Amino acid sequence: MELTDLYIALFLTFLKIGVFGFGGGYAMLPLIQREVVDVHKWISVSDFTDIVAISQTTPGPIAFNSATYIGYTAVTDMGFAQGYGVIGSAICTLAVSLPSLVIMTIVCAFFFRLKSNPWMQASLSVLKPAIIGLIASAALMLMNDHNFIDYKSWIIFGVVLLASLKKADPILLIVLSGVAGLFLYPA
Amino acid sequence: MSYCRIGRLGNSSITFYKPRHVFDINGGPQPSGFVFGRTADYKDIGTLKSCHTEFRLIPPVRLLIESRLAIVCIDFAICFHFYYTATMSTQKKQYWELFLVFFKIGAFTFGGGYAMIPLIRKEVVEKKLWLDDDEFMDMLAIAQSMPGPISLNTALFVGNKRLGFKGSLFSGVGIILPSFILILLIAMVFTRFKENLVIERIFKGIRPAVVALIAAPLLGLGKSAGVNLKNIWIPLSVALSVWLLKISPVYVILAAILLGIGHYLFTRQTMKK
Repeated sequence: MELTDLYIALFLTFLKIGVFGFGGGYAMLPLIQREVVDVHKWISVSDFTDIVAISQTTPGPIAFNSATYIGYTAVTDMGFAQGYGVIGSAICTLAVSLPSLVIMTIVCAFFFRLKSNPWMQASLSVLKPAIIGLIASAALMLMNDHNFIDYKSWIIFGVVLLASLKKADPILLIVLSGVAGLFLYPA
Repeated sequence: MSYCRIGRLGNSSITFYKPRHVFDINGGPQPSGFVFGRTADYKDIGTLKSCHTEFRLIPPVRLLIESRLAIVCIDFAICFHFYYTATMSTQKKQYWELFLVFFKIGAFTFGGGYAMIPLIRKEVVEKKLWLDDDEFMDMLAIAQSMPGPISLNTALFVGNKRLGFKGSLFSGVGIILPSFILILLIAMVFTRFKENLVIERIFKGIRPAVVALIAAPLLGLGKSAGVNLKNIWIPLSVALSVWLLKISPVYVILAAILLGIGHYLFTRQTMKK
């Protein structure tokens, strides 16, 4: 019974994330973090940052990656077997993609009318800048004591920020900062 | 030894069979898993020789994870692919093609979203000719303004345009499946090594880098979203309300949509007067 409750909670949470996941990618992070870390406490903040790091180095959108990962860890952390964790991650991935399926099916039916719809343009006029704000808040929410433990963290942050502005490859940057962490933090 | 023959190519055949009574190095019985074997008959001068090569597909994956479930899943996926391509009709082939194209896109595009767009365009517009350039740009605009990941929206749209609702199911599953499998494997491995000190040190270095990678594209994205001095209060207030006031992004998004529509209604009223 407990397991089904958890499955239902996971499904509803990720359904919500799918419905309000405007802007894709990083813009969905504040929503995911709020629901998964703050409200349901399925994973910790540093675990969440690790998921984002894994998403940045593996193919596929962040929304799916975090849904799959959280679905698995939330179930196995409760003490259930691996198999149930796989079902959990399938449920989360399904839930996060279900709204897209429904919406895109409707959109395909009305495609040509929607393209130049003034209502659509009107709602997007404020939503688009708002999405930039959401991405900024994603970065600000992750700038916490768990991820920035001392001055060395800030040095890594600054160097990566500069390199990224100069269009360096993000995967390379992640690998290099991992190596830097290995050397900067002695065992 | 029970086996099923899947297909025959020329004078060689590909067989899958389930080994029984096979023992691994430690002496224990092998967990079940399909062996991928190949039998080739070829004619040497005068004589008919039969050569049988057998190799396991699984060892690297098995080293990565001990989970029997994942191995069986991969085995079934491979068997299913061979079975399906051998028996299907042309209409089924179209669905399968749709699935494979988006599977490929899902498997090889790092960084998600915007990084995927050129690759999707290349496959869908240039190679397969499923959409022309104008249609693609329109579709992109729609996919970006709807909730959900952009890559999924694009896949669903192309699938739906091509083969209807069922087509969108195939393309959608195709784009989700690679990252699903990969992240599931990572989750299985990573949850075990999380307490490992070396891994923890590596991630201590990575975590600030992640934040920097999120923050870095903000300027460029802001420009392309049309943020200027007049409307810079929108992203600023959104960021502050979500970050400091801890308001749920759900309400922020709803407020932004309502505000946009309200502004439109207001300007339309004043235009009429």
